[in-house]
Amino acid sequence: MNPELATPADDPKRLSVKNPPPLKGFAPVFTWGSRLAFRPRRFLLIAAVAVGLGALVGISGVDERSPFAQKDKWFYLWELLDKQTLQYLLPLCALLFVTPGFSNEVSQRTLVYHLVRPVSRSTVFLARFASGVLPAVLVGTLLLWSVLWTSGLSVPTTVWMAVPAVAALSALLLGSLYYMLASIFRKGMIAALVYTFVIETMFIAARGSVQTLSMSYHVRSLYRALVNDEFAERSRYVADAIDPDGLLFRPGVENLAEAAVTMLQKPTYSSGPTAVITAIVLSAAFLAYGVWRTKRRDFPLKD
Amino acid sequence: MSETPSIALTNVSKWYGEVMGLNDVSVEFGPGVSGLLGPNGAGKSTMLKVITGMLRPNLGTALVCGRKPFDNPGVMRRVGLVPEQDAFYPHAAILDVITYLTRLQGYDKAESRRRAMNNLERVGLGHVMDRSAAGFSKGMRQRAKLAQALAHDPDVLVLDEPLNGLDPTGRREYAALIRALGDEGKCVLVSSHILHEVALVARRLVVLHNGRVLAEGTAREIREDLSEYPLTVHVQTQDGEALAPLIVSLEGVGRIEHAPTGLIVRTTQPNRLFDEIGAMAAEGKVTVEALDPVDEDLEAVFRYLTQ
Repeated sequence: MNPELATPADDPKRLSVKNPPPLKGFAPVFTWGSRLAFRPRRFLLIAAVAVGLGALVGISGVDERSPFAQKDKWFYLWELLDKQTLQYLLPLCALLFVTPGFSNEVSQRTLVYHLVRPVSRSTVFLARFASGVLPAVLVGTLLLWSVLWTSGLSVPTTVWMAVPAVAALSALLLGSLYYMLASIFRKGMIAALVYTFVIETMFIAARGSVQTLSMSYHVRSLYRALVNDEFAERSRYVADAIDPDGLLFRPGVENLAEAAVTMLQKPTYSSGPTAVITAIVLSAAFLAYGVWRTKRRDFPLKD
Repeated sequence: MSETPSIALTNVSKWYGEVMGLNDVSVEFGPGVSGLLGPNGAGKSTMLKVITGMLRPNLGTALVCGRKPFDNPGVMRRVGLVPEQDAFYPHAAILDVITYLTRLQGYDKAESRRRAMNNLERVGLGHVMDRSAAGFSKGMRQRAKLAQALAHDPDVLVLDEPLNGLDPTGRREYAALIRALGDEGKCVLVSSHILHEVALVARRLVVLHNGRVLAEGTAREIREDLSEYPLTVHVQTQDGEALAPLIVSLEGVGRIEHAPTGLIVRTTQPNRLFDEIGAMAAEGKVTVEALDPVDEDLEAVFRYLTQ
């Protein structure tokens, strides 16, 4: 050790114990969190897995052995995106990038260094959330694009352009929910997985307004608002459904036709603006609760 | 607001469920190095976490520089902490980590980096500042933790088991640095369960056990307060054979051992023993050359207090 290199005495202003302004220190925590989230090896691995999963979903849609693909590839692609991808795969991006932001600081005990700095707990909490959203949006977009690309269909530009918005809403809404769960439960990732695969499934399976309790309902609302017209134009079943010649009731296609009609019944889902506003309000509420808990909580940070 | 770097705990209790971490603790620390001593589970880390705002006391008040530290980021401008746990970001160079942590103190990036480099050099890690702490030895990690705690020149410094894992040379250097910080007028609080570590750096001691303050003061002051605790006394005499039967029946006297230079006597009432032997010597019954307490060192004090 070299005592000659002592840091010079500080200026008196810096020794003030006044609380810093709100969100002071947000930028460095956000930058640091982004650096951790975009760690090349981890980020590329997750992105590659996401693209691979998306490709599997897309290829399954064009597989000629699939009875769905033989009948109506457009409708099947729409459904693949709406159900499997938006409900189960896209939330995984938020789970992997947003959820660990703060809980990793707690579990790895590096939070201790933030607690003894003149940065409020809420700033650290919110900045680490924000730093996880962008990589979740990027990987979510890649995932959805890979589904579109491998479907083999000539997907219109509007649908390609809608994907980042849907991925962003998913990262924001589900990310904030998972983030809040991670501030409540010690095993936040497991709580988030249980929520996604059990509770969300129950909400979606329910009928009527109970569905609106599902978070992916709002993401799917935006998706439907942005892409339904494009898919409806190209879907044979949708055409059948609205065809006055009675093809709707052709034997063997009732269920799909019914689904196609449902697809067009936008009033059963929220409109695009309503979905976005609802998602933002819910996200703000989840984050506010997380901040409230974090500010009150003890952090023993034991080994 | 207190300009003087200080820590004050008043009737502080902290419990975790049914486990008592701190039990009605009142203690103050001012400028200079103070030692917090106690066995594992005594409540040392709980006290340090209350002081650094990680835990909120269930009862009582903790003040650092006159302010409550829990969720009070302003007061943390003046606080530096060396935590007990080895927590570092494994995927980043230690220079980058400390630069980041120093930025949180309000410095710009260039100044933070300069301070981080300066302090890594100061603690002897200048040659490895581009490496991740994941590959560091325990001693190197201790130094890195000190570097991050010193980078913003805090005037309240809290060190939890700081000498763990250091080699003897590193231990001496680290202790010298802590003493120098105390001499600069900083309020330095060092916790340890190992006596000679605390003895290396601190003049004032606070002994904790089962969440309570058992004693505080210098080692000598603490020992003087412990008249009811057994003390081992070396009676230097040529008349050991004659003296032993005379003192064996005295109140408080326990074991008596013969030594080449006299007797080793264990007593719970040392003052009475000194008076009686003095009287016997004055009456000419025995010749006594000296009476020396032999266990006034920290180890004995600690042992007495925590038994």
